Amino acid sequence: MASSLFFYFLAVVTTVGAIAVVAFPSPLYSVLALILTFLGLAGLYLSLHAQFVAIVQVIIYASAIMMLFLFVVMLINLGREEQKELRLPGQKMLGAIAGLALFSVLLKIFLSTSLMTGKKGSFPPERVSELGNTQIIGNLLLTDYVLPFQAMGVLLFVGIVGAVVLASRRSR
Amino acid sequence: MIWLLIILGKVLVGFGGLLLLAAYMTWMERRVFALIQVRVGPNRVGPSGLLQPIADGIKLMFKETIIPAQADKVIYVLAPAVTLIPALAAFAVVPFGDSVTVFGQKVDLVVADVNVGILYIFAMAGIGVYGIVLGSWASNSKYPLIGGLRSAAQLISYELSLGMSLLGVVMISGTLSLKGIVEAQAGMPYIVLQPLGFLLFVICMLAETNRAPFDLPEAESELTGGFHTEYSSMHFAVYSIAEYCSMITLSAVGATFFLGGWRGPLLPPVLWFLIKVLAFMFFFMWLRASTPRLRYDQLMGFGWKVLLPLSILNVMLTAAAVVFLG
Repeated sequence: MASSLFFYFLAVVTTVGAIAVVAFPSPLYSVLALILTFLGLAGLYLSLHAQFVAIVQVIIYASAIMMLFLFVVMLINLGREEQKELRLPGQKMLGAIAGLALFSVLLKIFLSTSLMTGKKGSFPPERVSELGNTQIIGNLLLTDYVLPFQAMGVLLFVGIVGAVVLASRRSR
Repeated sequence: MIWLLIILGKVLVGFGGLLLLAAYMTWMERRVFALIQVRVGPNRVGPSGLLQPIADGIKLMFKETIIPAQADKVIYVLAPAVTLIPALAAFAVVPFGDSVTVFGQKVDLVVADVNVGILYIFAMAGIGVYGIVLGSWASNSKYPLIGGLRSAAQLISYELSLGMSLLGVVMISGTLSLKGIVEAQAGMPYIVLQPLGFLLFVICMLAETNRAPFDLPEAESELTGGFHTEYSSMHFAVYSIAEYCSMITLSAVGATFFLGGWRGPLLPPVLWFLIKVLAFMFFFMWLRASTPRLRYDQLMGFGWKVLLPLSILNVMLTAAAVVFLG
């Protein structure tokens, strides 16, 4: 009972936040709404007993990444008129098409997994709480998923090198 | 029913104690400052000026709130709360004493023992930065904006080394829960095994709480006070309380991770915990009274080029020691 109330509250927070991101005219308020959405998502992870994922969601998305968004918005400080000049012709139409395409892909993935059948995976909540959330993720990352993990590391490294190259070129 | 009362009691004792301690830290800071500068400090209100924080609080409450004309009012008013709430919430996972027996129930003296405790503290610290950045932006004024941007950049840079410096302890104890870490230090405090980690932690802690010599976000001489330049009355007080709360929380984290938490001979555990936290706080004040401020590029260079490599080295050495020596 309590947990389903918790779920509905968080679902409302997450959804309203997500709608507010597109609805707010001011980009700064959009960023704040997106932070709210991420916090709501973290709450949803918590209600699934995934404490580690929830906390990482807050540390990385809700604080570190959104802080960069906030920096950019604050430093550029767009006025209303400048926003209009930045619009592409047919922007809304293109946006709707891209959104629908992404949504259909996500829907396809969602329907093709066993999420909707109610079958339990290899890590049901009881087993997770027995082994420890953080420990399971750590073990899986360095055993079953070591290749994607390393590939991600290489990808991030390439990103860092690219940033350093771009930054040093300008200062010369 | 009884468990609800126990939780309520813990929340009241934990947060009430934290707020009271934060208020009295202003008194302690002024007295310690005066002592070092061979002055007397506040000694008029109550014995030794002990009622000074209450007088200050009443004064700030009755002052007029001034909101700059061009400010974004909603964010301006909300920003101090965005800093204070995470600063208070972060303390929830810090164990401030051994378990005691109340009404025949065993009660751990920690508001909430979370199994990702230390990560939770970092998450709260990360959210708290928004209060500073948003407050500085909403003021719609140049000095606060510069102060806010500096503050955010500094907090993000030093948070990394702060986390890394604690990782050694996490690896040795094998748990992220602060209660578990205190339990693991029954033999000896981790400062013995992690001297470099402790040193790095103390330096990063100063930077994370915007204290001297890393108090650039509030550099009076160049920024007229930094992010809270435009704030007055209770809004200003809330920022100030939040700063002291996060200082206390980080002191408590330091005491828990490196000095054995509430452990100690003879005296009761809660008292030992207080002594350790107050020792950290005294160190904060002592440093503020005796060190000059860094230049901003020095601060950033020091964080990224000295502290971060050293903390990574500490993690690697600890990992090797844990693997090869057991």
